Amino acid sequence: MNILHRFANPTRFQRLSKKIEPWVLVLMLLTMGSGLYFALFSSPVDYQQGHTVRIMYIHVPAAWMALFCYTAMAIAAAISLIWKHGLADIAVKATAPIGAAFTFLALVTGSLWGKPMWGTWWVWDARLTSVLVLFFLYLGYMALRDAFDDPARGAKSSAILVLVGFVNVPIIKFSVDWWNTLHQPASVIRMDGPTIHVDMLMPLLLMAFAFKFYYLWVMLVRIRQELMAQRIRALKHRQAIE
Amino acid sequence: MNDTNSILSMTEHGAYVWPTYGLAAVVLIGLVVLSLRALGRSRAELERIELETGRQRDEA
Repeated sequence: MNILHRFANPTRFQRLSKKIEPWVLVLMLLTMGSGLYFALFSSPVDYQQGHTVRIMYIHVPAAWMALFCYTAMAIAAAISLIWKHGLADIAVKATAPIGAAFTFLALVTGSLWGKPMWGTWWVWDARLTSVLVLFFLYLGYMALRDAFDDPARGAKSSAILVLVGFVNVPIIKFSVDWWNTLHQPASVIRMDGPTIHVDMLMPLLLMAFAFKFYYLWVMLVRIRQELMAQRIRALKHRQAIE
Repeated sequence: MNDTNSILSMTEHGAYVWPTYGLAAVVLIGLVVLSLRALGRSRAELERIELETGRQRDEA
């Protein structure tokens, strides 16, 4: 916990963040650029799906990020509630719009993939419905976080919502095993290893890393902005008292 | 030329593939722009308030 509390200091965090951000940005641009090249031009066409397989390189990493961001939010929310760690609370707030954006992308790109492959834009099956619930959880968190005059109450109530909503994460992951769904089962994150060909796995992993670096970079920017916003509120409060 | 055309059209599937990449670009770049603009606004406001606070302290 000592390490966590060391970085709870806003000045120390901002100094570290400014050093890390350019490196994360470079890594994101490199992985994104190469990932897009392979995804759009160099990877093979699927013998059954044709070119629609290229939707996978956006859809699957976005869906992974939707789950990853919510898990990160749940861990940070728990740290914030248990140890009253201010930066953990800010990390939850900074992650929410990024997670919501990735969930939205996973839903819409899944729909764009579903139409030519399944013949329908949407079905109310377990995987699709549970991801839609995840999207509403992100929106609900953001609405609840700002619904209180007292920011501390908003942070606490919304952190509890994040923890309660975490029950949806394993439901999403295992929905394709527990229920009969139109959605295919996992083909990369499996106990017996990926079943996908390496020529398709490489761009998929490159895009997955690109989205991870994107998340890290945007989150650091948003945390710095929120720290500044908190300092502004504190200074205005002090001015009002004086 | 035919190769370029076939890459762009992706047979009949271009209508689904290109909107996927276009939407991802709009959403991800849009979030970056919003985040950087918010950071710029906060930085400017903080500098203004700190300058004001410093001036008030000097006058006192």
